[in-house]
Amino acid sequence: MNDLHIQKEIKEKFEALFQQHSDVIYRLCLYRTSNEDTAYDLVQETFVRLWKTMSSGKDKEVEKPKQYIYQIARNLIIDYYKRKKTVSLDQLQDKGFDPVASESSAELLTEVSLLKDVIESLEEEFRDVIYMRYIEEMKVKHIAEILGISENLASVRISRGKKMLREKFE
Amino acid sequence: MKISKEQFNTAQKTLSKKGLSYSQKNTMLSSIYAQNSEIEKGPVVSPLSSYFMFFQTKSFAVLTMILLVVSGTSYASAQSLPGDLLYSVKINALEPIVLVLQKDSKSKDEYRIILLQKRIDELEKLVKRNGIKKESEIESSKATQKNVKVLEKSAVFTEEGQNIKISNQIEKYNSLVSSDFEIKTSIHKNSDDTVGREIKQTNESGMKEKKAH
Repeated sequence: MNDLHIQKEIKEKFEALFQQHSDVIYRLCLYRTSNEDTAYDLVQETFVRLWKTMSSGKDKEVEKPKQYIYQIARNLIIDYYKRKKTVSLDQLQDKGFDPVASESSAELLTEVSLLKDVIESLEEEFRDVIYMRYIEEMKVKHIAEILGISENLASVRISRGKKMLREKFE
Repeated sequence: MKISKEQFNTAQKTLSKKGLSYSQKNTMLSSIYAQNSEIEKGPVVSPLSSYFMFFQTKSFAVLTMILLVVSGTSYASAQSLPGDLLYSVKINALEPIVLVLQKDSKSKDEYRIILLQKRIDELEKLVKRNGIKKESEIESSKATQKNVKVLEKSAVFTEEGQNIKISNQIEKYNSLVSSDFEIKTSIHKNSDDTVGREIKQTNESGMKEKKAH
């Protein structure tokens, strides 16, 4: 098998992963940052890093792609918040940043922040599983795979988190 | 923070519908590939120069290794005594190299006299350590004989037919080794010695010829 063929195979694999996960990662970033542009940039950066890893022949590192992609996205979100702390809103607006871009996005962001407020009020270990189970409607198996925990533990966390979530409802 | 279940479900539906459009995905993919190709381009370095850089680094490492090994071996052999593993390196490689580097025959003879003194020092060290073994005597004797034979040819004698400096050294050497390994040479003998006289005469006639010229 020549190099060209291998590169083609890697590209196909990468694009399949992109099509499969880009929307989920976009929603995760949107949910965490409450900003569509930032979410878009973070998704792009996530897949840039994935492509770099895969195309440089380190695709063995991506044995569990879902887990890997989520991990990159999470790290980027953490980095984003670290950077954000150092930049004021005024500075961002001077650079052309619009916190509320349109009517539709304003509506969307209200819904997002509503969800975020409820889920973020849960204990930390339940936030991810509840988000994945009730927002993304993922299967327990996939949640366990992404978080690198056993299915049993994921089920327990979902069950407890659900109970806590019910307490938040009026 | 309290919300109704309906509010939660509505918000969940709104968010879950959200995703990247087809065109957004295509733009993003193109941008990802473009970014990566920019990284791949990097600084323009010709493949030949990178080969040489690799070669230089590799050869530098090899050269350093060789230097370390050679200098380490040289140092160890220079410190070795008769009977040691590296003693033959000292006698057959190091000392001949230094001898060759001497500029003229006078300097060469002076260096041979230094070597003679070194052989004596080695034997003295062995005496202090554990005494001199037979193998050590053989090695030392061979090394000494080699230099003394050459010194005999070019020796300069006193009026009495004696080369005092070398004579003393040879006597000292012989006092350290057993009788089988004593250096038997005409250099340290007195004026009655035939070889000594012959050399003296040769030297004297040489001087006379030079004066006549």
